Amino acid sequence: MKKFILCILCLMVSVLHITSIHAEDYTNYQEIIFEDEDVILLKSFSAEDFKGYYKHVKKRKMFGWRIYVAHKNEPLDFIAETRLKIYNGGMTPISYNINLKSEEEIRHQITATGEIKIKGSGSNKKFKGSVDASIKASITTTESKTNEESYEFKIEVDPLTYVSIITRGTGEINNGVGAYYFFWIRTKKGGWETFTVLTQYYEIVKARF
Amino acid sequence: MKKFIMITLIGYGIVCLLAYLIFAEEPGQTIDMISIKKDYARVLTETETIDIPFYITSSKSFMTDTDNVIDARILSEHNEVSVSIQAFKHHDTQTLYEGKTYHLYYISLDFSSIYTKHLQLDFPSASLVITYQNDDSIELDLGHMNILFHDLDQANHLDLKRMYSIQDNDLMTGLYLELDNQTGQTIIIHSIKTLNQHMLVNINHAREIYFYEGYIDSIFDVYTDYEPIIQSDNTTGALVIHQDTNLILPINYLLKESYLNRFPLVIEYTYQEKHYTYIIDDYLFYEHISDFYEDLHDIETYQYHYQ
Repeated sequence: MKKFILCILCLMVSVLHITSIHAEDYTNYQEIIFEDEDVILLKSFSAEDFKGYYKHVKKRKMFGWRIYVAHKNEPLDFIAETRLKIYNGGMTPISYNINLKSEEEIRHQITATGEIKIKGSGSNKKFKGSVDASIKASITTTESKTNEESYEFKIEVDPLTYVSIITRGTGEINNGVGAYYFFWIRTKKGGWETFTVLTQYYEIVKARF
Repeated sequence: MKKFIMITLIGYGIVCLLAYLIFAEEPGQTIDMISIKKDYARVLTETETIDIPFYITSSKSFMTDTDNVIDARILSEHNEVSVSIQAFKHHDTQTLYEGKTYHLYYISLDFSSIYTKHLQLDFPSASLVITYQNDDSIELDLGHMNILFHDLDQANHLDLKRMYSIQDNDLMTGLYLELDNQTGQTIIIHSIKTLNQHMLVNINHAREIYFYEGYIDSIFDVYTDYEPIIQSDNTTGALVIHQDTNLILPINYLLKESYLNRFPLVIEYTYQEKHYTYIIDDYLFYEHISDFYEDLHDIETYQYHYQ
């Protein structure tokens, strides 16, 4: 019996390590402005915020995740990084064909902290384990379909001139915390966040270097 | 004993066969399709294609195989052109609509067989008619299609410096446009066309600003009395450009709104009393992530019945 309890304790210790934030593209955007000023990103959650949110998932259960949604479908505007920058360092004008396509991994992004992990890459990223389904059941993400029309924009670029395309857009965010219970014992906890792009605006700038 | 096992197996086989015959689903006798009526305004070089979204309930059918197509043409009330279908591009997207699962394809239309430089084709309320080897045809409503065949030239007098769209409630209400006057002399812009007859860039109400690094979020920040719909086209005139200019150009819609998000700018201007055209290639100003559910476009449904 002692051996069994020791094994259980060892297992619990091994799953209680803390991991750092999995940085995603949207977390590096130049600016994210929420319609509601009280909304914040997961990366901005303070220890006090976490403490407050974890209170909502402290009710014990036999198995599975308890999820608390701190911010649900919160609309936002964002300014992303420069999507594309082409420089003509030559002596003659060059004609460029710019091909712009929104990648699926930009449309749906997720981040996690603590013991909530992410698996997969690109458009197949998911929260690892059963927490993915638990989060999806707690929020309603806006239906998002990929538009993959061929897109070519032809532009002449003079010598010593660059062309850049900067994206702005609108989207929505869901974030919160979760806790996993195993025989009424909390074995995992962490923060989660989903970011969905709804509209993207493309600004083009042509300037001399 | 052997006999008993044999009889049991045969009996079991017969029961399975009967169950299959009774309960097996009949092969699909109909194919449902959806086309999206969205506007197209494009400047095409000889090798460029236009991709038309097309939703179909069958992921593999003769209708999405180019080998089965014997003719394809775009029609409107007065115009008709033959095009070739370069590909049916299958996209890994399934959409549930009215209880049926649709697969998304893009029909790549190739205009190279009719390519004539400077030719402009206008197809109001266009449809794409595809005829197959079995002599069956489908006619898909596309929306308004405006095409200009043109190889883009190097900018001589005017050049683009910065451009983005201004949006209000999903509708494009204006353009921010920085132009580089490379002549050092006066240029007079007479019109800026999008090719689309309903979406008009209003140069008569253009406003020049001298320095602006940020973004204009709403046209109402600049024009408090802005009205998107106009009853007649009064958007052309004379916009004098002396030097590099930052312009805010309201967009008006003739009689009805259009959710055109990708279009060229055809700028007609005079310099030293000679007439010129500067064309900015069709640019994707914005992109809604969903163009099926957003209800910004009309959708048309079709059904094909196997004979």
